[in-house]
Amino acid sequence: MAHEPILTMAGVHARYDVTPVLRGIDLTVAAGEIVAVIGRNGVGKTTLMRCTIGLLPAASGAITYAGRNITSFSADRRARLGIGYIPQGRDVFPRMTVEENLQVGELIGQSRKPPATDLVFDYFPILKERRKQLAGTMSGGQQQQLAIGRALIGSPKLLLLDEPSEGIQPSIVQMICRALRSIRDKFGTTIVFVEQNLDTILALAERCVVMEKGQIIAEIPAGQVTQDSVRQHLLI
Amino acid sequence: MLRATKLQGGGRRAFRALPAVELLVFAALVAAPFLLSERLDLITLITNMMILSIFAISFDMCWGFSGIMSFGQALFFGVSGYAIALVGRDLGFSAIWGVLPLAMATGLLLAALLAAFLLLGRKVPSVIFVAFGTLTGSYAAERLVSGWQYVGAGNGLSSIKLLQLGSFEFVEGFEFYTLAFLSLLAIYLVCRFIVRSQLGLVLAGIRQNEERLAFLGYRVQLFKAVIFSFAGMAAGLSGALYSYHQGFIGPANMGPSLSTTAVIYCLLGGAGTLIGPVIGTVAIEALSYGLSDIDAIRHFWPVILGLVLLVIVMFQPTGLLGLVVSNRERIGSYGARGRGRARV
Repeated sequence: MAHEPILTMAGVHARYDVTPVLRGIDLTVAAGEIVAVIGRNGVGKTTLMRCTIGLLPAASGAITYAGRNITSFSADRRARLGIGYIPQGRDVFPRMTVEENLQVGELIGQSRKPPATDLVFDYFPILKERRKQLAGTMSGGQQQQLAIGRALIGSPKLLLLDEPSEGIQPSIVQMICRALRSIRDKFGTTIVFVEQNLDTILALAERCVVMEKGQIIAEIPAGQVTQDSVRQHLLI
Repeated sequence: MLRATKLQGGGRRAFRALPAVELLVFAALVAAPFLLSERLDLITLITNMMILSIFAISFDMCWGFSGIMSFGQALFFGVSGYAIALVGRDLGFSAIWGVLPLAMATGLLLAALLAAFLLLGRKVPSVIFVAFGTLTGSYAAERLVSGWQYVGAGNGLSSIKLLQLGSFEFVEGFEFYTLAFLSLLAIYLVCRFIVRSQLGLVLAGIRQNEERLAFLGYRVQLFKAVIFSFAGMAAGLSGALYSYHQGFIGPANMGPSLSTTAVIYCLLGGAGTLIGPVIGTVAIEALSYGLSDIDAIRHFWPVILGLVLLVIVMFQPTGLLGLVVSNRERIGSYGARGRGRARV
């Protein structure tokens, strides 16, 4: 499945004020891959996601996306280049309906792509049923589906997800994982996700990178992502 | 209490209060000059209310709809007012087709310049930074004109040439009332279109969480700058109308005091709705007019007004409009689908 690299991070450092959080991240993700970033709490996984989308600037190092150095690009510019981001806690707009949340995913001036909305409803039928409901009144699982759907409206080439299973019942998590795999298979969307839930990692990841103290310290290559190998790193 | 709700999933739709309130307010404004034809003082008062309503809406577009705390909205109001007064005095020109666009362009350009400085920098500005930046602009302009003899210094500019359309002059009374009403209606409809469009949806997103919009690909600060500039244009129009109507413009008309009044109009009526600031302006101006006329309280009516506002802001944060309109309806719906053309 692996193709040309779509995302490359070379020696990326990032910090909150004076506190260093990422200490020289080296990561390459091939187009069409599904990569899990795993590790204990506080090792910098979320920061890695925020740094990739541009919400936290890299203090040093280089981030290359689809052959372009995007290190100095703002978050909105990276998003327009095709990086979708679903943060921890979903972050849907609670006082908008499902429909409006999806509509805000369509950039002003961008040609509308009705199939994109239909596609979202195909993958997540509950959103069609609840399209007039305020997003803030939906369950965690439904909000997660909406957040993924909203990101898909922009047809991202790279999708970043931060703990997609957090606070969601297992059956819904499995359904979301199947949908994400299907999206990758159909559209070649690259997926990088941060996760601590073993079942989710096993259901979705093809390859895992392990973080510790702001660095990537190990990798579980494709074909070797098993319960034992993942658990070993989650328990470090 | 009349509180509208919207049922889910089609079916029976509950009564929607907001359009009814809008219709009621504008119908009352249409009827007022006919019902009060003998009372020029009241016609003048309502004309003033409508002009200040445009000013209040301009602030609401910033704060209520876009989360930009513009504490210096009077800057655009005052500078545009001075601009048309100077054009009248020095060039003898007051044709409506020239001076009103000039006033709007002045407000627009000034607001765009300020937006470039306050909103479009490398770092995302905080609400406090923008609030102090706009307040400082307003205060500095007030101090500047207070000491500048060319613009009348502390006395301001008076005897402003009457606004003209050919040989017709807009004098105080029915003529100016009509002009103020049409201007308010035009600004209201343009703003209504904006806040219900896809741009309105983006503004709603900005109010809820700016960061989220950034990672959806939106240049949030640019959108804010556009709305801020538009609001400056609307404030400029109201400043020009105010100058012509009062025949006077002074330093206080661009200072923090008037800027704060716009905030109060909005909060009292209901920020984040368009009719709210109109209601707030009418309520405050009517209360001021009524209270200041009573001898027993003439000297401390502003204190009473202040207490009334304090109570409303503390116990009715959605403003007077929140008494009759539900939160869902106040938040509104947006874009093509929001107007009922859903295609799902």
